[in-house]
Amino acid sequence: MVAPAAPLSVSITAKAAKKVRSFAEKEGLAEETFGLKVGVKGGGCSGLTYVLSIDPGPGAEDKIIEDQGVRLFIPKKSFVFLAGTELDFSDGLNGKGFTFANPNAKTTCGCGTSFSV
Amino acid sequence: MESSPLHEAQRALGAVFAEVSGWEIAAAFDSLDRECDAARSRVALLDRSSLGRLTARGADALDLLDRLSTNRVVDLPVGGGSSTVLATARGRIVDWLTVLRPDDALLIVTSPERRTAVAEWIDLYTFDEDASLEDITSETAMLGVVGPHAAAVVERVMGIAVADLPQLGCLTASLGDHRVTVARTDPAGQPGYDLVVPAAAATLLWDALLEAGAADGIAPIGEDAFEALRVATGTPRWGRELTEERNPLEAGLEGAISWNKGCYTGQEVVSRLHTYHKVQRYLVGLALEGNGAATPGTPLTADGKSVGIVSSVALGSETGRAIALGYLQTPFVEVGRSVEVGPAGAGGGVATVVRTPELPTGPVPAALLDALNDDDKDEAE
Repeated sequence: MVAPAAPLSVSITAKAAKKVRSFAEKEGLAEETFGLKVGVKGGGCSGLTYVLSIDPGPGAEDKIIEDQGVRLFIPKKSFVFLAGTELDFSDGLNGKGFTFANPNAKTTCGCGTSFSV
Repeated sequence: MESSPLHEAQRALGAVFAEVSGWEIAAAFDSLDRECDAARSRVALLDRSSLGRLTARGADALDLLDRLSTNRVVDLPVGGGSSTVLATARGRIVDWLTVLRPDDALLIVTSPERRTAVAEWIDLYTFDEDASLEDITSETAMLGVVGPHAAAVVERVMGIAVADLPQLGCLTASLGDHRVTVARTDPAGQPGYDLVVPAAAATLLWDALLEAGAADGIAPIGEDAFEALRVATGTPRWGRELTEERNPLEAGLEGAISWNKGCYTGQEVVSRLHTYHKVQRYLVGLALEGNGAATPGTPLTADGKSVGIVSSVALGSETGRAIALGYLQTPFVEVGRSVEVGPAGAGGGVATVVRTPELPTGPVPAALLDALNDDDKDEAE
């Protein structure tokens, strides 16, 4: 039996999108052009860590996804590791910040900031 | 099979060749005793070209390596070097590397069998970084000069001061129009240097070193003598002591681990093994007695149970007796401890521990142990 494929996209919750818009506003970025760059880089205990930044525009090879009124810029090579990920924002007692529900992550490190596939 | 640019020069000196790690390598020029004696008491020259050589360029190269390996390399200055382990997320060894920074570019020296695996591993984890790798193994040669007179011979040929180079310190020098990287690497635990030279100038440098070292009694040595020196000093090598199943702590590579640099791939597992004294076995040096024919893979037993495995065997030229490296379960890791070689009762002789890594001492932080019990299965394999 073939397992159902993970949804080949990256999504953002309404709460996280609101946070992103407020950061962009503070930085004075035009709503039509800015986006949230979501990527990964090598390192962290488990091999890969997330990279988040609010960028004025997409990179040449970025995949652009619009969700909850926010554009997500995903570097081509990072997308393989992020497909199906939902980005949320947590302000609970355990720490405030963006969180990633990534179906590709087989293990995550103790502090939750890195993962392996 | 690959061969070194120094192949002909070595053949002319009467070298006997053997296949090692996919390379046709000079195994011996003379008797093992005389070759080992040259390295220990005078100076020896050997071809180390089978080791992998990668150059890394770009503003993010050091930062990337720092995130992927166990030692602190992020602030490596020009002229510096570091020994570091590329590790998996489970804390297993991808390869044990020497990272040298003779100039802005980095020279990464890998195990002979691992240069492609290392390049692919680094590439897999390179995303937006300004970092590029180039495999320069086949266009260069690497010559080792080892022994108490090594510095004097290198200085005579290269015209630069190297005697005071710290361990893994490196610099560049010229040989005619050719650029040579000189690093204090102490190959196989002997004081000594590695010289990386363009392939076209390899024979020129080889001959110049032999000529300049003649008064010091320099001798070319082969793989057999190097192996004897390596086993005697407990230097691990890929395929024997180092495999994808080993972690750097059991392999005695604690010197290549920074305990305060912060996160790197594999850090969580490596730190936990260390902090909670969870390393199950260690690499030890062994003296073999009796008529056992130990080879890599021979089990080590005690009280009828398997307690370890032999990883390398060589003839110890100082004692005339066989010496070995092997992994022993932690309770047996103690100088003077004897175990049986081969299956229990098979009469394979006795191995006595002659060298161990420094084991962690002091109390285990007990308050956190309970919380860790769930995680122990992985390390206990």
